[in-house]
Amino acid sequence: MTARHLPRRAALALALVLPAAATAAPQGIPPALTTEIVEVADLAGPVPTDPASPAWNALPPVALVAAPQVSIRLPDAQANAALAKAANRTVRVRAATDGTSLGVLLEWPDPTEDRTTPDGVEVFGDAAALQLPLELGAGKRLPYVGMGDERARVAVFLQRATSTGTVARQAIGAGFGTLARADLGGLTVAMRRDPARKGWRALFVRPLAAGGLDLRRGIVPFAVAVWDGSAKERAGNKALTGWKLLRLARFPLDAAYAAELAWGLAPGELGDARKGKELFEATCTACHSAGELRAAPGLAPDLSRIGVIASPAYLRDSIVLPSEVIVPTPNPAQHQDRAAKLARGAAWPDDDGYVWYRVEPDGKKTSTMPDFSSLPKEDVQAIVAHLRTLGLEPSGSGGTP
Amino acid sequence: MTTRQLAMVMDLNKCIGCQTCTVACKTQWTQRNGRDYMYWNHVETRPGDGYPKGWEALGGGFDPSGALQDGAVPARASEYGIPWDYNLDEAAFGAEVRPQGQPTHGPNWDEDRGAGEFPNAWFFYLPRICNHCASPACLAACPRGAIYKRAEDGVVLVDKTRCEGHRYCVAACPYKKVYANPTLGYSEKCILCFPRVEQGLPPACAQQCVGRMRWVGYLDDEASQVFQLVRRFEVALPLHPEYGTQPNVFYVPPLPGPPRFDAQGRPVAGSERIPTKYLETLFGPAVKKALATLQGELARRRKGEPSELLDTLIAFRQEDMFRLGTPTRPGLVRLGRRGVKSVDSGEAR
Repeated sequence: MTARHLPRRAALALALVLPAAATAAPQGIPPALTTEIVEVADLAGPVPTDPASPAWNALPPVALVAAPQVSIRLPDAQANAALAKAANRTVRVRAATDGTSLGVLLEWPDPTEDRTTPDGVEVFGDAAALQLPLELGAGKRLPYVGMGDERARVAVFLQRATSTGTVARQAIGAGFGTLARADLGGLTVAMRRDPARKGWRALFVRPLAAGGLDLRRGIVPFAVAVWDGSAKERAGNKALTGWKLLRLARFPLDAAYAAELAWGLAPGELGDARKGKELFEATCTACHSAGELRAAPGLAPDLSRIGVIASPAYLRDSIVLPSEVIVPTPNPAQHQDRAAKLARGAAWPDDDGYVWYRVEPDGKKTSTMPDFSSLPKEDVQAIVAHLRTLGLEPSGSGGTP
Repeated sequence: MTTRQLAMVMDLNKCIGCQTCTVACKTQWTQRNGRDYMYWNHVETRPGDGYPKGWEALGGGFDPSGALQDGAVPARASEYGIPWDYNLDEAAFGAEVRPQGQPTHGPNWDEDRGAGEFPNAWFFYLPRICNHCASPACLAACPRGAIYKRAEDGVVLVDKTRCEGHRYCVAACPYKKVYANPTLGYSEKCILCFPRVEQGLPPACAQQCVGRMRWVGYLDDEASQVFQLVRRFEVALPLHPEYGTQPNVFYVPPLPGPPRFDAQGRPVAGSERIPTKYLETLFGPAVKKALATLQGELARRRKGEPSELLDTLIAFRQEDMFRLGTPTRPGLVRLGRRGVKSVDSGEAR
């Protein structure tokens, strides 16, 4: 795929977009999922590879909320000062396919243009990433949205602004700290400033099926993240969305998969968030921080913004099946066991303190989070209902104090 | 899990600030390709701002409860100082030698500052490398698990295949001894010359030290002078132990020096040129005992009595200062009685 493209031809192609922007639930899609869907425009011609192409402007964007990542804390004073004031961001998403390629265009406001430079010791570049589950379909649980987990891995496509253009990465992740570069097939990326909106446009184009990742399906879950270099954002310091869905009308819909993804999304399905708040604050905040309620840092993921990034089904699983959704501890050395004696050779013993799972003798991992499967179903749903409200505030009031 | 820990002792009474160590390191490891501003080894003058400027105020390390602390990534222009070159091409034809650009900071920038007024001025040199900590904050901070301690010698290394240049290690190291390489996109740091250590050679900074102020050995090796100075005599102390990272570079603190002079130019009996209080801010309360031990041994020696500690610190034979065990990868060179000696390895040089 070439980076050069004829806008007129693309515009013509877009005139052939098959379904009009959906006003009602597309056929076979559970109504609860409609708020989660980005319709992938069906193009007759190739997917435009220039983010500024007028062809993209012809597509209606879907606005997604991206929340600053606070589940884990990273030890940069300047980044954390910015994070304390950070608000949720809006990322507008457009997507298109020509039957062989998929293009996803992200558009988000960022008044400062930050690019890495060859001598920028303290300079961080603006960046964007697109995340897809590595395995998808009915029976495949959605991975943890923060770079996947051990039993459900993710494919991550990233691009960062540099002084000479963009640098791109393809990687596979199985949780915090596990991202490893991988060849997932051809990837075309481009990042362009959008002067009118004082922001960025970042485009990802990849084959629908390549590198072991086949996206020729009626619905494909995805999540996106953006980084603001001026706020010292990099790695886990970013704003991310929850799992959303790309709807590819030209491919058959897996109704069972759609039903699984829809769990808990229908209004009123989850139950009483107020009751959930009481249960949450009586039990969960012993280890988890959330908003004003602070537990020991690093003991467990901070849930202050979990409502933006986690799906109801994932929240349910993490309560009733914690050992099924184990996320690697970000870095167990972040907390020293000061009571331990120095090991032989004067090296500090393995920093144990705050790990999120134990490894049993048979190699099986057990989450340090207790199994709450004995809770009544209504209580679990009430807690999930409450968790879904965390971080939804328009300003940074749900963040760390 | 680290099974042995290689450590270094530096005697600050012997450092003359010649920067031979700095040059030995720089020429070996940190030339070009984004490394121009990096000094895996540098010598700074205390009291002073150090390198990077004000590094002790930039955070990092662990708090007393054992929790990792936030730190900051130093800025190139204001805290490291932009490296400069000289107009040597013009100077060759008679022009005055001048720096190119307007230097604002650099390693040992404030060498001529010190503290106190004549005739009571004082200063001392503080060479710094990575402390190869037993509990490295850089390792604890890395969100990618890209930093590790070698099991065989505890050397702290960055895995360049894992590092993505996020620089949390730079922020978290309270000694600011991890450097970002923005040209290559990953972090780099002192490697304790492990390729030399594997051949039975001490790190370049230690071997080239003209003042013989650096000892290298394993902390559990009672026959090493490092063990003797750190564990037996307890005269070598970690820098800023309160940072909680358990450094494995130890310093013999500078003695108080000659007495102060009063307004009439008479020496003040029992006075300290270098205040112990200042040394306590660097090496913690243990510095008092270390200084008392050193002064006690000096007094014994002045009376003509033997002192094993002072003989060790004098370092009559340089090869006694290094005890690196059997080379794990013997090859090109080894340390002979008079320093480096080539041996035939059968490999092209």
